[in-house]
Amino acid sequence: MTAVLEIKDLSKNFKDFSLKGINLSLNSGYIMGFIGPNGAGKSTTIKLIMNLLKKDGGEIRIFGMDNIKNEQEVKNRIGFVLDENYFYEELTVEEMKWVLAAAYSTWNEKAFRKYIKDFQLPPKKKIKELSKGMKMKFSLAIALSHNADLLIMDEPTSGLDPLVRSELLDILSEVIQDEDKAVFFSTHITSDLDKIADYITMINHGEIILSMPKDDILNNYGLVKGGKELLNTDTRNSFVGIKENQFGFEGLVSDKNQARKVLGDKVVIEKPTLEDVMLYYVRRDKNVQLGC
Amino acid sequence: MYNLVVKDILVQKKQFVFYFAYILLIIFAFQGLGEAMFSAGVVAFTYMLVMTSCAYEDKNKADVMLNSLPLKKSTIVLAKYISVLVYFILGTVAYTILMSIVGNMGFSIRIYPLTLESFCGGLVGVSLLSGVYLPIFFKVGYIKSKIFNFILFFGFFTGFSFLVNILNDYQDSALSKSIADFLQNTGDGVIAAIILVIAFIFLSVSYFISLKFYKNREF
Repeated sequence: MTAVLEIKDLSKNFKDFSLKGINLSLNSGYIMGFIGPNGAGKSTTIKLIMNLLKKDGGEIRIFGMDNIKNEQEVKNRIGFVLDENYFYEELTVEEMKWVLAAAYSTWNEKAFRKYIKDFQLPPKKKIKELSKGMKMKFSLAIALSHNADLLIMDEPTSGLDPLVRSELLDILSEVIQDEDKAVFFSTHITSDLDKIADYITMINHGEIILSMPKDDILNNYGLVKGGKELLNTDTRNSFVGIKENQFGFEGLVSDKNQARKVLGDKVVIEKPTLEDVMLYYVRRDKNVQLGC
Repeated sequence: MYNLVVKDILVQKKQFVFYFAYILLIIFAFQGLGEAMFSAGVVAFTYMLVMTSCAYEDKNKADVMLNSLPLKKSTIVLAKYISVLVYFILGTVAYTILMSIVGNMGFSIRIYPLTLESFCGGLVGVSLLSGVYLPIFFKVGYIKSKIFNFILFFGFFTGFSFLVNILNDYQDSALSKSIADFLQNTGDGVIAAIILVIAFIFLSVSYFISLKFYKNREF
């Protein structure tokens, strides 16, 4: 199967930040959560995919095509949702739609009408008069109204109240029922992905730390808690990261079965959340002793 | 393309009443301009529209949105140049209508209807200003281009009077005489056509420079 989105050795250098040859692949029918702390390289990656930034090296293929050589063809099949409003605030919902719709050869007016009705978007209201949640819904309605096969969303839930966030996630779950579509969803709010993501790709300091099915992470990784006497050079090496205090330690392991074998019954092993996984990977060079 | 041009008008539709009022102000307050009244009015009108549309692009960070659409960069850039010509036509129509209204209302002012010379003068002015400004806008965006804009706008008017003074000083020179001879011996229509062609070439060169700058921009 051809990947909907495939990134190979993608690099981009700024004065104070570099994207260091990242790789990832997403097939149709799946939602990939792209997580990492602020400044990790999520938005840079997405802007490179959309050719808003110029790459320094590597390759980006979308629907099997080069994202720059076939830029218009590729963008016609992408629904793009950003974390903040980039629409003309002086225009009404209807006027803004009119400007955008003309750009897409596959614009589906009927679908748009349905979405603005479902999302209760007032067509005559100016964009600047919409709440953040409404702006996001409008953005989503545009992204979903031109038969896009790939939705690329850059922190769409950031700043939204829990109700609107939950609605947005429900809509994405519905979209992905169509197996020809894929969603690439960046966020630093990992709980958004607990519900809907199939794959998780984690980025930090411009490097991909892990990219694998979400269920594999949740089933294989373990949050280990126990007494400090269990920690020695050998056992420490089996941790992604360890947090120690005067009473004991808590650490993340990538293979909980192996950890059970090494540490025995003297430890408690819990299922980690995606947030735990992210925090241990991200903080391991700060407050956690390095494992591997 | 059409939508991008209309969008530039829609974002500033509320300001149009001020733009028309500005033309009226020029008709009443700049009687000394004579036939150049139209040229001055339409240049100011067009330039205000161009500047405001560029300001809204920056304010709304619209480049990110526009470049995420399946649009060629050449389409985005060309739309701004087409907009300039649309504003010029709008300004011409507005001036003609306002001048005829003012003329029929019995005000004790002199009426300067649109002439071929003033039309060409206006077109040259609009082409020069926009043709110089737009590449700067596409290179650095509106905010950073403001200082250039200030220099450009005042440089244009002071430069124009400077040029007139030079031509006056050298009116007896061979070059001035040959230009004067050429203008006297050539029909108005031909001169207008030459001016149109020069304006078109100038805007075309400006467009390609803008496109080169815009293709190198990152958002």
